[in-house]
Amino acid sequence: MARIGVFICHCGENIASTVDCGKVAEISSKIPGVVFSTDYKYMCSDPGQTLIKDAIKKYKLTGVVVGACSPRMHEPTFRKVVASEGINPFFCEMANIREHCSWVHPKGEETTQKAADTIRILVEKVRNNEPLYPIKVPVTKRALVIGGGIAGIQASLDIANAGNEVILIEKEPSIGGHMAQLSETFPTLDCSQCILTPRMVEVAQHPNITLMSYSEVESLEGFIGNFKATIRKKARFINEELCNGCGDCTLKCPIKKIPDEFNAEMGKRPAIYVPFPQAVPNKPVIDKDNCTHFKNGKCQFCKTNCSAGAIDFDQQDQLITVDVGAIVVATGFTIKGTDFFPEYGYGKYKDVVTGLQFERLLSSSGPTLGEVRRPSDGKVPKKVVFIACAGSRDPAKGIEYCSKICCMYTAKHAMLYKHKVPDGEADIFYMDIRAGGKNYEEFVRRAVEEDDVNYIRGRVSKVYEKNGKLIVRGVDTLLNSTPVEIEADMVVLATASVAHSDAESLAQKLHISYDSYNFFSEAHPKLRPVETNTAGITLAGACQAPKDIPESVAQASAAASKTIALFSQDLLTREPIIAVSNKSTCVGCFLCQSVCPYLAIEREEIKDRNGNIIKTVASINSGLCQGCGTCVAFCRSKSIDLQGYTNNQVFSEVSALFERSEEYV
Amino acid sequence: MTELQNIAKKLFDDGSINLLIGYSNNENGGTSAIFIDNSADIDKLIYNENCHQNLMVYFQKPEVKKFGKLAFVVSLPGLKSVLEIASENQIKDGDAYFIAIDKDGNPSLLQDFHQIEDFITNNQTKPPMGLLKLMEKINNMTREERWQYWTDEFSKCIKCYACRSVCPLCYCTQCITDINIPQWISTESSPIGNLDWHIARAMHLAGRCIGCGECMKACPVDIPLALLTANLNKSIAIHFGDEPGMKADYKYPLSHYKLEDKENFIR
Repeated sequence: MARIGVFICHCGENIASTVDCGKVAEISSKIPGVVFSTDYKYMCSDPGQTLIKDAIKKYKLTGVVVGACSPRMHEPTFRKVVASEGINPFFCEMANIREHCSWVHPKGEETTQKAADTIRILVEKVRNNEPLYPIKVPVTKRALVIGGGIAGIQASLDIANAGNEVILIEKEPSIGGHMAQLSETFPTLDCSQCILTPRMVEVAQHPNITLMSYSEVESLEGFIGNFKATIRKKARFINEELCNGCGDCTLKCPIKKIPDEFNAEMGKRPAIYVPFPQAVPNKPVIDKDNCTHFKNGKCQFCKTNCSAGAIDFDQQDQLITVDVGAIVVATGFTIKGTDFFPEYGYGKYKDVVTGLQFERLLSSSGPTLGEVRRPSDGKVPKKVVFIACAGSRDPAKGIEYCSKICCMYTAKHAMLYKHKVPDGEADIFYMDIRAGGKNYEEFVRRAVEEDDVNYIRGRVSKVYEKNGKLIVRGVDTLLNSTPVEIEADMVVLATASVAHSDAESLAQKLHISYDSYNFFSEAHPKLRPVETNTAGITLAGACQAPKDIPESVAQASAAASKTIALFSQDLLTREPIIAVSNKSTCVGCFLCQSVCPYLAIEREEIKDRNGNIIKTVASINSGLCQGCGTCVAFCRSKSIDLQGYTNNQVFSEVSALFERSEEYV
Repeated sequence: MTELQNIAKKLFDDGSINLLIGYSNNENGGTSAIFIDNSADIDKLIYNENCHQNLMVYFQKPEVKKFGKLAFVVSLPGLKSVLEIASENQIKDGDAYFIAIDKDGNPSLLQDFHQIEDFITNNQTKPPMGLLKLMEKINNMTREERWQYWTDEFSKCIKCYACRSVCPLCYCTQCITDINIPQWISTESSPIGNLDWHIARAMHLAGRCIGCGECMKACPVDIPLALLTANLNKSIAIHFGDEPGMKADYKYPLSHYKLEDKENFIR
């Protein structure tokens, strides 16, 4: 016979201001099986917990219902209290009379009644509870880091330095990401490559890091501590073991006019190429789509000129499966091109460029070796107009968010331009200056005060070409919306930062959630900013939302620390809230298998004593099951039940709701 | 000897089967299922327009399974149920022989799912006009009229479960209505109990029913049960474009996620 204790928490005023907690306790005491019932100001406090412990001892309770906040908040607290008195913790249930009752209803009898009903429902559940025991699962202490930009590099190094194995995969031929493309970085104007490349080399040389460049995630199975990732290592048509990185092949390639991705298409590259001189790994790759050999088989220049014999035209994509325990997603972002803007010429004006393209023009490793020369005729532009918020914060463009980095890099661009072209004029059209960050505001002030950058608050409605000049028509909203028209030599658009086009499909492969802009979603915007909703998968960098370098690095280290904490345990403890199948009634239709989002349902053959298969039934892998209950809902013969939320428990709760008698009012 | 009997005899003679389930005349002047376990009884085997029962309902019975090698006399609906239960892992290719009766009444022997799929594609028939008319009539009713119509129909139900017994897709060894811990579906023949049962039955067959109509024919109180599943199938076909009983590797649309699935009903 159940002996249940009911404990009603006031939560200070949170519950008590609208619910008559004393009355709820009194009503609850009338429920058959409830042998003790009380209310208290803060049940989660030390005296509150002691009150529960003492009652368990005094009244020999077999189950406990705490009427308080959401179980997400304090279920672990109260289960621990109950367990400390020797009761199986799963005999403690929480009735949420705060979020589900006091917070959403006005003070009154009906609110008190709802709280009492909620308690009664949970009492019925406890009556039908069964002891459950935590599940232990092993942890593979190897991390998969997806994306080799600065975030992925930082996360890999941190995890590897803690003594764990890391597999870092990068879809491009070299790691480095966007940071490798930058000239100088705000707010210190230190050279981007100078601070990045040592980290890239460290990754390549680290004994715990396996670097797989030119590789992508093909599929992912498994769960926290026990993922199985299949990685597609794309054919680069180079035997990486033989290649010594001399670069002769890239010089001999007769195709030389392919727009260079690393230079944001400001320069050209051959069909066999190393993205940039400091690339890691420093091995070339053949661009199959543009290579004459792959088009008609007529060219072998690279092969005949390779002294190492490393060119392998027959190389195929490889699928490699790895076991990993945790995953850091650091796939970064991309930016909108100039073709996204009809008002700025749809990308047809050569001298209207994106911020990233301008970055390459400023870079000493760029196509102009650091001289600012405009793409159309190679002349040094004397007047450059920068347009901030190109696409960002613009509902009409479908991008309502702030791209965050543009204010700072536009100030930097204008500043660097003025350093290189001292007699030039830099005008910036802006909406607001968002310079929140250490030394950021000072940096923007420096642009205005020391480098004479002209800030104009207003939007640009149109850019068009006239007599070799770009006419920029805008408005100055600080001068009573006076129309402004500037004849510029060059226009730089700080185009919106957006998610990669394949972000959605990657999220689906990894089973992580993403927002309406296809940026990956964190588990909680404030308190769990680096975890995803899928246990064991964390986020780093701009794949979550636009971020600058310091933020990306900080988040990467945070993701790494989550991963390292996970790897510090040999066994993971999981809540036993999982589905179980009844093998005697299961008919093996495997509808459950097709609906399970976690691939947790396996086929088990039931055999007689002679080894003949009698039938094949569903069996649930307790490591994979996340207890979502979808299979339970689908099973026609109700041969699957969810531990902790069994059919019987739920049915008794629903029945209790409909069986309110006068006594419980 | 008829062609049908010839095919059956050959299967027995070369040891391909131990049991054949077909139709024979019964003492009431109608037809019933006959279970033939030796070739001597083959002359009782018949097929005519009265042979409508979907014999695949017997496939999963342990009493039948113990014979091992089986053959069934089946027309179009029976073959569709073969493919449907194949998609639900209840029958494997080669588990049984099928003597298929085409729309002209001619028998042919089908041995694998591929042949069955081809046969179904080549022998499609339209649902009976009466059924379509009634469906249209009900769909044209207002919500209230429709509710009243079904309430009246279900009020006749005596919970004999004949609809369940004749259905080749009701193969669960434990039906949800027989579960009493907890008793989700009330067992009594009352308005609520009848509604519980018929909603559960219709939902369990949504997107699976192959439309043999046996439930309706078996119902002693003439509830037009096949309409419920036919209408659910229609909705599923509109939303997901899939039809049960056409392919052995049918992906049940309510449980399989496809990237191209419409999401316009999520608001």
